[in-house]
Amino acid sequence: MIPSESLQGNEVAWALSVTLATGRAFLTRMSAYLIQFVRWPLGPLLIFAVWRVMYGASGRTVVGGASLSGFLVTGIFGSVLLSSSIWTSGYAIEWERDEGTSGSLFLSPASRAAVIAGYGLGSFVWFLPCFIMVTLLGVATGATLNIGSMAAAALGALAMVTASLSMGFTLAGLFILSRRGNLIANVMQPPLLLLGGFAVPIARLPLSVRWISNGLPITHALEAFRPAVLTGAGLATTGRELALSFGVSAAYVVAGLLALRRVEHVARRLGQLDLY
Amino acid sequence: MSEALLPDEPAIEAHNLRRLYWRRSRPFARRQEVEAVKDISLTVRRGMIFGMLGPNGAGKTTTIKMLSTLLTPTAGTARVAGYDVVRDDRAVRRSLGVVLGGDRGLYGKLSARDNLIYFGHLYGMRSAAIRTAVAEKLELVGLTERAGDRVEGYSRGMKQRLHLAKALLHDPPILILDEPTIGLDPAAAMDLRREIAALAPTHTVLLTTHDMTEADALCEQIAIVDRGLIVAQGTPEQLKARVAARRRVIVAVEALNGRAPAVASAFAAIPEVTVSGPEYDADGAAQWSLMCVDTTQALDAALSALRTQGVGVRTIRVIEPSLEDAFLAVAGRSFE
Repeated sequence: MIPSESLQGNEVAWALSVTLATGRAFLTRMSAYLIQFVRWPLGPLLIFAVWRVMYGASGRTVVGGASLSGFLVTGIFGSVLLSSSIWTSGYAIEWERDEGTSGSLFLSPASRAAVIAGYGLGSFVWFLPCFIMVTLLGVATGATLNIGSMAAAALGALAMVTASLSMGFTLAGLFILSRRGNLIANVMQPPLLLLGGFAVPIARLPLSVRWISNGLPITHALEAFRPAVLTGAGLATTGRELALSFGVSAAYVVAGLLALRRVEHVARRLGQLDLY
Repeated sequence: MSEALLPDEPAIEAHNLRRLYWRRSRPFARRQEVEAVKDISLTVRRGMIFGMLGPNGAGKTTTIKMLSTLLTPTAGTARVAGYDVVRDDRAVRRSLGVVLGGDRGLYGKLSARDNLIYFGHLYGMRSAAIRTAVAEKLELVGLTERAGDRVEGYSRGMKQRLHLAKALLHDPPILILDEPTIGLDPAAAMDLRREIAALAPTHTVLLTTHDMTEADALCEQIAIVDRGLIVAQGTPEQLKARVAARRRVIVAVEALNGRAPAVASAFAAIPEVTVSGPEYDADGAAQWSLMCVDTTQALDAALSALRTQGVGVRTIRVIEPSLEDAFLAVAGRSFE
């Protein structure tokens, strides 16, 4: 018998409740550090400024068919979401390990995927003010928004968030098993920032590395989002990249969920599950 | 809480549990095999407090990690609340409340209340049930007044009480407590023991400890664990009865005035008694230790011998065998 005050008979409602609770707990924990209120908004603003100055030095005002600032603002969105994949949803279990709560988490019957999704959700909410500030800075430095289709823009934004979360699922498994998430994350972040097409158009990257870009769901999401919000492209134009983004994201989610299950099993066998 | 238990089925059952670890002393070095648990079988009846007693490194924590699904056994089987710990791990977790030893396992930047609310969601409780249960458990462990404070500012004792509240939150039928009073000051440890004692018989409790007094005071059944094996098992009284011959009568006497050899001979003549002494305290007073089975008989004989020798008695103490004596007897070495 499952008591009526329990959600254990309804997996979807339970997972949603865990995701929301994890997101809320994440935000409360982040808010405990005053430095985080400065660090996170300031970081993307500085990156935007650095990229803007670098492109400015080359004399370019248009990149990838959009205004320089518009191109960079959308790139910053992508880079922030990539950081979220790596350092929040992907790093969720590592956060727990650092906090000393991984044992408590793994002793609970809650869905681990729901916890990871909660970290991703919390991170997205945490970054919302940052997105707004970067957008304002972009507009102030010459970015122009041109949304021709609200559906294309909304789906592009959804694809960005979905891509970020799906990559987080996949990374989470890798990080648990390696127990060296921090080191791996530090190594993988710089090349992914380039290969994701955030600061440099994918078309300008060498052909030999573009296959990596194409394997990242966030690349396709950005390729759909950028024209939808900067050049007024509709679904007819962005549809292919949207489909690719959602398709690759789905593959990442499935791979991530399978990997998580497998990795938890292996970590239990190796005795690493609750190690701090 | 749902259980798969049949009416007479024990809450926890383990058969021949074994656990190996592999460690490397440095990168690329050959892996070394460590056998943390060699062969542990135990049965914990519903509603009892069962203690696993043993020194550090005996295999207690490894055993409870296997029972609580954190670790897969290398060999053997175990069932908790009727569920197999390997095949039905999620069902086992639903039926369990676990307090892991040490200072960690709580979110330091969250308040006690927020910690419990979060864990309530992890255990699939609805919001309304969480609100009620959180208030109840905070009250139970005496943390209501500090419920809004961040846990990082809590003392060790408060954290342990919060751990217990967390373990009880979803009202599991079975609790596993790993060294629940470790590191607590005596008063805090006593408070927590009182709370643990009150859990039975509505809950089944499996606790590990290396504190003999704690095991003696709390547990209905005790398994003494040493080097990955259960070396003795029974009620505290049964275990102490195994070393009944270790009862000691300590007789301290007044001035001997050269009669020490005569007193020693008289004591040595008492049947079924092993005599050691005399030992002298700082004032030069002598005392003998008489190890015996029947304290009354030994005491009578000792007093009679002292009267015959004309030696006055200063103090007499009877020391009952302890679990430490039991451990010494079954493990062949002292607890420390």
